Amino acid sequence: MSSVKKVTLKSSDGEIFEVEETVAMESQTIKGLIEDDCADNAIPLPNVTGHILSLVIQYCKEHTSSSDSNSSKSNEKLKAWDTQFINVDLNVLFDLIMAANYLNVKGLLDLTCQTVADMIKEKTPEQIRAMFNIVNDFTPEEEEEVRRENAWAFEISLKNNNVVDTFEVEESMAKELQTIKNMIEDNYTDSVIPLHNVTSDILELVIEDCKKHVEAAESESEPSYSLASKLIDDPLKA
Amino acid sequence: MSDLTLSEPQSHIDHFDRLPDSILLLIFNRIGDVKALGRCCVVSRRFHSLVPQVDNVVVRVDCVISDDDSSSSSLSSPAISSSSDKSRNPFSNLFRFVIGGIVKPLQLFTQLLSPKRPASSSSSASSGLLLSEDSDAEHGGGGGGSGGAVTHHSPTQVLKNFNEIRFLRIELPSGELGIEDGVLLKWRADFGSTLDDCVILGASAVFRSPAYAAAADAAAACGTGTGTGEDNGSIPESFYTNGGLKLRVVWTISSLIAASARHYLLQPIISEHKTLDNLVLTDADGQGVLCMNREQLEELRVKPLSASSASKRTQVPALNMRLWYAPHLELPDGMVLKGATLVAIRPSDQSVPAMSKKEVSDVSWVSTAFEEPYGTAAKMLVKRRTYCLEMNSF
Repeated sequence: MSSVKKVTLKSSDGEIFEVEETVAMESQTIKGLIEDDCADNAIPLPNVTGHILSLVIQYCKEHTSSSDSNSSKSNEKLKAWDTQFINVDLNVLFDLIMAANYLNVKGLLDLTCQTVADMIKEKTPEQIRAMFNIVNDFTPEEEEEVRRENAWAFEISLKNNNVVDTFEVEESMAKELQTIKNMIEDNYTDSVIPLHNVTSDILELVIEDCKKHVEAAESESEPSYSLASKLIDDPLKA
Repeated sequence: MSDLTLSEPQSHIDHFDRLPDSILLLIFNRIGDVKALGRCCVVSRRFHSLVPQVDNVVVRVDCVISDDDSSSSSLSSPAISSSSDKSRNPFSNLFRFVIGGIVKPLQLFTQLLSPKRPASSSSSASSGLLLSEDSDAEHGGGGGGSGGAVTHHSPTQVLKNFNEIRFLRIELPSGELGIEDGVLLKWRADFGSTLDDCVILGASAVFRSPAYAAAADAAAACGTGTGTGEDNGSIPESFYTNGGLKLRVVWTISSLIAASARHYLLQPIISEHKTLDNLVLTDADGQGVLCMNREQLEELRVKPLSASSASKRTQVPALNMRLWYAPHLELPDGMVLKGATLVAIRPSDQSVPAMSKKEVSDVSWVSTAFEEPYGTAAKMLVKRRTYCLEMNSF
């Protein structure tokens, strides 16, 4: 029985982990220490708690064994494992980001950052702030200015039939139309929304109407749907 | 430094507070979509200050507008890709004459024009690649030039907030070349100041071989007509007479026109974003891909392109082309290409005299031009007999 070389890692809260050297070397930071011969005793990692360190080690183990040429783990299986692995709460996720950065584990850093990026991608600013507890530190004037500069980022497209008669409308307006509101809430906002049953002329009238409703919405207690809106929601018409 | 112990479950601290700017940028660089990045700008001051430093951006263009939209007709539809303007473009006329309608008239992309900012008044000079339309000009309603709810934003405009883009990918909503269902046509072109190389893959029909599931026996030339058994790698005589050659010429010229039109459009973006390392202009159909790497981008900045006189695209130089053909090509994954054609194109002043050993054996750039399964098709095709052609500049 040949002994596999192991290194000892010590977390910030004093937990000790013994891992194979090859696994530990997934961390470029640790790899550097080992190569500089500083790894004879336990390597202290004051920036990483035991809980997070154990997760990082899990990740490294999984990814070391997969880089063996004899490994039967396919790329797909590894991806599935990653998806499962990263399904953690936000606190842990951000802890993992910091740990991956400190320990310089590239794959884990990519995975965690991509996960956060995916969370941000589909959301409105309000949703992003809510999810991550970010404080809106703009003054109202500043915020309006920034919104205006980036107005193009807030519009969604409604497309008539198959002709590229595209109307870009503000989300708040489009939400007046239940059908579209549902699509928006299902996050179907990145592509152009096709409306097969509506001609351009009707669509334009509807949009005009919606605008008026949105503008009046502050004073009204209940949004009232006009005839044109009903036209959209009833696919048999138009 | 920052405290990394687990916080209480109900903590309301800003998660991003724990991350230094460099990591936040790593995250932003993985978002890609420029609209999502625009939304990030609004989240907080910190986000707003970091987004301009993002180095990886993907712009998905929603629609492409013709410069020839007549203002009088576009009362209600400000963004029409005019399929009605066929006759106004000399090139589309030329091609319809030559082709007889095999390829849908190419007016769409020949009307892709430089991204002028549309005037907000009644002028309909709304041209170029449009990202999305702004609903700020609609007070007072009614039709007229500025049309319903809309003005347009070009990619140039949308990108102006970004100062350090290194990787830029722009996606058109669809390929410019109208082709019939079942026909395959894909191109990939690399440009500096002018065309550096282009690879085109086409097939007159694509389908899954019904016999694939059962057939381990390729020698049994049953039921599929001209199987590979009698194929000696050469182009059959019928190809020259049944319109096959004409069709391939059309494919080649259309692809080159599409590529050079795209290249022409990119100038303002390239000159403004000097940090670019890699630029890709593709489309949602995966029909055509235009690529430029750092050297090529720099070359364009230093040596401006020559525009074609007839329309808004870059002049295509005189070309050497190599063509490979297979009447029936069956790929390992079961896909079958009929009339499969691969064309590798380079400017004639670049390549060494044709048929030199180096030139002939240098096909790696050809077989790696496309993603699978088409990469395999290309690799299979280059093993066949090579035909050489030349084309004048246009």
